[in-house]
Amino acid sequence: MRFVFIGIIALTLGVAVSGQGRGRGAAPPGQPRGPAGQRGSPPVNPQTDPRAPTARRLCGVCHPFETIVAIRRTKAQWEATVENMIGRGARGTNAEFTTVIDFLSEAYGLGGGAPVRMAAGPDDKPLVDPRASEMGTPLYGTECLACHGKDARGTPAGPNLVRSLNVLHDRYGNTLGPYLRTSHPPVPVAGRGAAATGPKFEALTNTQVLLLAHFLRDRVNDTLRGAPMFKPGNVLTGDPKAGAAYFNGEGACTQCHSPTADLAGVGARLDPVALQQRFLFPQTARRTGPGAKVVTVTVTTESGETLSGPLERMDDFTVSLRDAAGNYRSVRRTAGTHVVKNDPFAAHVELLSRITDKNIHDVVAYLESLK
Amino acid sequence: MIRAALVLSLLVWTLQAPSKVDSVPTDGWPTYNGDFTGRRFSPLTRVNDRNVKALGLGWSYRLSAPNAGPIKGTPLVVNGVVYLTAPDHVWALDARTGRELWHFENKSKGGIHIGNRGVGIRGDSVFVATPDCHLVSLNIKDGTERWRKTICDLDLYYYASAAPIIVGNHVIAGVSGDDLDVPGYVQSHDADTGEMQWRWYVVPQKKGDPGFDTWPNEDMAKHGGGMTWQPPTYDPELNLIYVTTGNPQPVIAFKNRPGANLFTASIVALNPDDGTMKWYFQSSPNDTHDWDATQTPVLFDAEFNGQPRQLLAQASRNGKFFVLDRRDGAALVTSDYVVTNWALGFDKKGEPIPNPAKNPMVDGVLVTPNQGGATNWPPPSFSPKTGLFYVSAAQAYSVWYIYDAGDNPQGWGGTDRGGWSQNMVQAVDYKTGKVRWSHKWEGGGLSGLLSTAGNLLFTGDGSGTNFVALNATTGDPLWHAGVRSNVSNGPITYTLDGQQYVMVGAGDTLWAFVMNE
Repeated sequence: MRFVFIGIIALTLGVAVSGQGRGRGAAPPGQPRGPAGQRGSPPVNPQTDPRAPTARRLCGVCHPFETIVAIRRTKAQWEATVENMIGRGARGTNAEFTTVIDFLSEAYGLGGGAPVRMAAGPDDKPLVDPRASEMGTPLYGTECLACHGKDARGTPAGPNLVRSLNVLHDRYGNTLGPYLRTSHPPVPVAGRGAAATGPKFEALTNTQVLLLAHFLRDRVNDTLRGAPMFKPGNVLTGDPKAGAAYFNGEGACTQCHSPTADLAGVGARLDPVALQQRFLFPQTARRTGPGAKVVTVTVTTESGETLSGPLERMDDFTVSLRDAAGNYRSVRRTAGTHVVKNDPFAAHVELLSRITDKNIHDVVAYLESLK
Repeated sequence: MIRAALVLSLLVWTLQAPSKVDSVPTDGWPTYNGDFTGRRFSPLTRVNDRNVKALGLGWSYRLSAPNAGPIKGTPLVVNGVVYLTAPDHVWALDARTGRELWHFENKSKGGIHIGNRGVGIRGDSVFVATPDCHLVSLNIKDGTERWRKTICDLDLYYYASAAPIIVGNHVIAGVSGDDLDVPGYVQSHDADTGEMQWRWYVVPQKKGDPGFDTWPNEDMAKHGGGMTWQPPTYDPELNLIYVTTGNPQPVIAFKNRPGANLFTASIVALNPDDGTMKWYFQSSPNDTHDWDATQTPVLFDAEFNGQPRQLLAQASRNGKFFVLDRRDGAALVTSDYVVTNWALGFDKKGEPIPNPAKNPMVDGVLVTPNQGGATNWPPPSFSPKTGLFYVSAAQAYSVWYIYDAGDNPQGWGGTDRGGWSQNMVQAVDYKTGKVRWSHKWEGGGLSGLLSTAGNLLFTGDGSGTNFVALNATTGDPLWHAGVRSNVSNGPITYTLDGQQYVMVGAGDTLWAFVMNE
């Protein structure tokens, strides 16, 4: 990691010193590594990894694969992203989705070095080295924070730097450095009134400018969708007693579930956000194993034969399933063909149109209490 | 020689460009929506509900650039040549055979490559927008570049994806990208020289600009978003273009932008000659769910309450259906085309009244539609034969969270998560806003729509592999063809040599179907 960091500093410093055109110092892609905490694990190559084609195939139905990997995410965030896509109609088997999540987490996780850019060109976005940003933090604290605020979003004393064109056009200090040294307004000196001016930033070294550039770009990236800093807050705002009452009454949850059987200890197994998502949208959870609930169909053909088993695929013209012997069966849907679909999650779907937000928060509080 | 004939007949087409809103060319597909109206309706009847079962493959063309797809643009067809796009790419193909005539590739400087909606054509020029923020003019003969103009700033996370629309000498281009808090706009360029003629900002850029009083302050207004993702429609009689605008920013974490946030998530009528606004209608006031209002504003002349009217209809991403008088934006019909749970009703203007209890919250709020919306960019269709507005729709639920609960959120401090959706085609009666029929799909994925006077509705079926034809009156499925991937654009149709072609993009392949007879 240190080697990569120093390499980026050295390369990008060249731009800051020379003041060459934008983007000339774009950092090289870091060598992606396994997830944080797996030191010594073999590196994952996003291009040649055997799981990459599966990810490209499933994701590429709706959008180019590169559009999703511009931002690195934790494994939990990749899981949430993939589940979102399943909720929006992404197609694949449970095993394929598990493969995709594992691959994305390892090749595009937070421990994987610099992000892979999409069709990168000389004018594309600069990269942030996390160590450089971290090293820039105390410098920002002493030189900038008082006027521009902790998150660089401005205060009455100084403008929002996240929206600053100087910052957004900067490449590793090439516009920030000259601006700070020659054009930044005089800084009021504490205790001497706003009119009093202190030194400008002529004395900033190239390295200091570079560290500030990384810190500020990091603050810009903190506002992007899917930024690692964006995490769910406290969803445990409901009343567990009211949740129990809904569970046992209006929600009709006891028709399939029991707090002492399948849901025993569920509050210890899942965090509150996962509890909320699982009970509202159980379809998006990837299930494998012999007990997994799956959609089944019963098909009565024109000749009167009845086939039944897990649904493989269905449209207006064809239906296919696995029969009891494990054989794949495909049937043309004619006027005389009768198809009955059995969705084990139908009660959850039905709930969506009548459950209130208060009910939801109460049920989550109740489920969380089942430790 | 073929090319000389092509240019000559293009000139003829240009001279014959429709002067009435409902005149439709049938020997090609000369604009993004086929004509200026956005109806995506063809008067062709050679392929119809009685013989569509005989529709078979004419040819297919797989993009010659790897990983450039899926095809999300609508191809244009002019004088027997198809003009097809993907981000950074334009191809010219023989419309009879699919043979590649030329291929333009933009040497990209960056930008988001998520999709390109197509080209615009005027005379001997082809216009395309590139992800790295350029509007480019190409020679229609060979794809060589004539001029390029920068239309947005990559550093501000803008990119360009919308198909340019040509009105007279105006090449009208929108901008894409809602990652940072930056303003949306639409602008016009001289077709011959590329010089910018005007720019209209969606959100106020200074105190006192129209709509300023719907923002808390100048900083929030001028950074307030409103991307112009979709091509406008155009009424030559009223000389108005109808521009649709995207969501305000910061979108989900909405705390620091109280107000309606004009003119985001709106339908706006502009004069194409100078960009001045005549009227607006806000489909999603104070949008807090990233729904935009950039669905096609479809223009048609039809009877309403016994009177002939000049109408504009939109099935908006927020689940609401609107029919407006396109002269002044007055709402005539408002309804829900799927079940929604986020509004308290409609106000006197016909604009939805958001329910504050359904704004995103830290502990989660269940809302329908989800962020993908009740529909999205896949183009709808209106058939004057059936009086039905067809929309590729989803009944979709998700939970919406605020992640940045501070007083000054920026960018994307929240999102929705999880979800369940049922995809379908909704056929909406324009006179009542009620759904006359609904055809549900097994599986996900929205596809564009095409209706024809042959009582057909073409689209993808959500199965991920089928291109289908439904009976436009009843919604009954009539025909399908396996096209290997989800139908990823809007189908088109045209006649060549007396043959009616039906063309669609699915994944990286363009498919052309003709009658086997």
